[in-house]
Amino acid sequence: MTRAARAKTDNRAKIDLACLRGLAALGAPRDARSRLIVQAPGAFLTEAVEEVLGSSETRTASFDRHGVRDPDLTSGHDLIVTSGVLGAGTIADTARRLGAFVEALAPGGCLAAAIETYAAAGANGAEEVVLFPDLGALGLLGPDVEVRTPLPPAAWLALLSSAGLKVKATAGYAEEPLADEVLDRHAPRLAAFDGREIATGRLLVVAEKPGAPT
Amino acid sequence: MKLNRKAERLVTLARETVFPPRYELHPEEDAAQERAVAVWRDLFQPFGPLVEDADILEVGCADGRLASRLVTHGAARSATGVEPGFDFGPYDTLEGRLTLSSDLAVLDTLDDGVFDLVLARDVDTALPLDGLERRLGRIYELLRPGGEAVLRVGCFAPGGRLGEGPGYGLMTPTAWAAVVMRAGFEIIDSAQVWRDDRNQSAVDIILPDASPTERACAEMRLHLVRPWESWELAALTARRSKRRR
Repeated sequence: MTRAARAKTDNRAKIDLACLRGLAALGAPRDARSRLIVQAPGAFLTEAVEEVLGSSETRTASFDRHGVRDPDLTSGHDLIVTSGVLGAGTIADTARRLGAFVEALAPGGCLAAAIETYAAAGANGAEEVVLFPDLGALGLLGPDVEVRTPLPPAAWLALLSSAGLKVKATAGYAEEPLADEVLDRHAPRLAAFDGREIATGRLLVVAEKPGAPT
Repeated sequence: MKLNRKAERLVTLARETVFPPRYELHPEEDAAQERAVAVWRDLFQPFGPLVEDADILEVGCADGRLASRLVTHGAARSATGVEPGFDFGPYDTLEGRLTLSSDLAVLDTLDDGVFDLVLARDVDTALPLDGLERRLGRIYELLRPGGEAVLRVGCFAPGGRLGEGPGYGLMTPTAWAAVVMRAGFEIIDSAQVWRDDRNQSAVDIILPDASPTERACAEMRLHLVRPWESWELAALTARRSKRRR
């Protein structure tokens, strides 16, 4: 592995660990009997879950953000942990994928998700993602931005609610504002967006499926 | 005899003045026309889109009466109306200037850049969530550079089913802005309609961290423009230079 690749890997592992610590702080259960981890290839979510939430019966499923087929999910899980998976593809794809996650949860089960919202940074920061969404859609801001579902945090929370989940806690809302000079220089263009919505990059969400746990 | 005919004509005129002849329009037709006029007046006209001599597409045209009036009364060059699943039956094509279709797939059969104006009175009813981004992109392609679109879009309302109802059960004002801008449009104006108090309380519970304006919006009217792409401007400049030589 080259030095650059190792640095990228280490960085990825740190991000996943930080996400898990954040989700645990929001109330992701440590005592879930059955866990499902859905992650993108090259992620370190499984290791992070083991370290932060302890050991338990765990299944994993891999999802390629740039692929065309969603993973087949097993059902009846008390906890689903996911990062970098939900917000890829069209809005309809994302809604369908979330529906599959809800189906995979047992009644009373919990979804702990790290979601990259519309204004999450691309390869060169968040400014160009927000200012030039058409370039993002054309792939000119990197492959991750190209496939990103363009939903800001309020739309994500509305989506989770409409999918039948009750959001218990969130973190990251309006915590990554754009630089003041960007806001000033591009004020007319940014007026199309709500300030709090574009000040959110990664949103951590813990949501519960209604019903009594079996 | 001449005098009798003149007298007869005078009597007829007097009778028609006092008792105007009853036209053949059914009262329901009058009401339907009034509704079409109201849609134009309340939804689209406030943004002042250019209609005269324009080729217009109305996505979600209901019974097609507004599209027809844009040609007969608004001096549009042509109007195309699409209402998925609607049976238009036989209709007056206004000498080929009016086309009505009940299938959204017709948008894929048209050439690019054939419309000056696109109207949609209810995007989240006319366009299914599945393929929304692709269809908005297609509408962009159908517009000529500098063309306009006026769209009404709904925002998330609690209690609805995912994929249906206002905003498909998930869209917010910023989400709509992101989606139309990703399609290539520029937003030149917008107007918001606020929720009633009963819905507002339910939304406040679901979106406690969103700003008050983001939560309060029940629907938006967006006035969009399809901008000139840089390569189109370059081609135009090159043609002008060639003509000057």
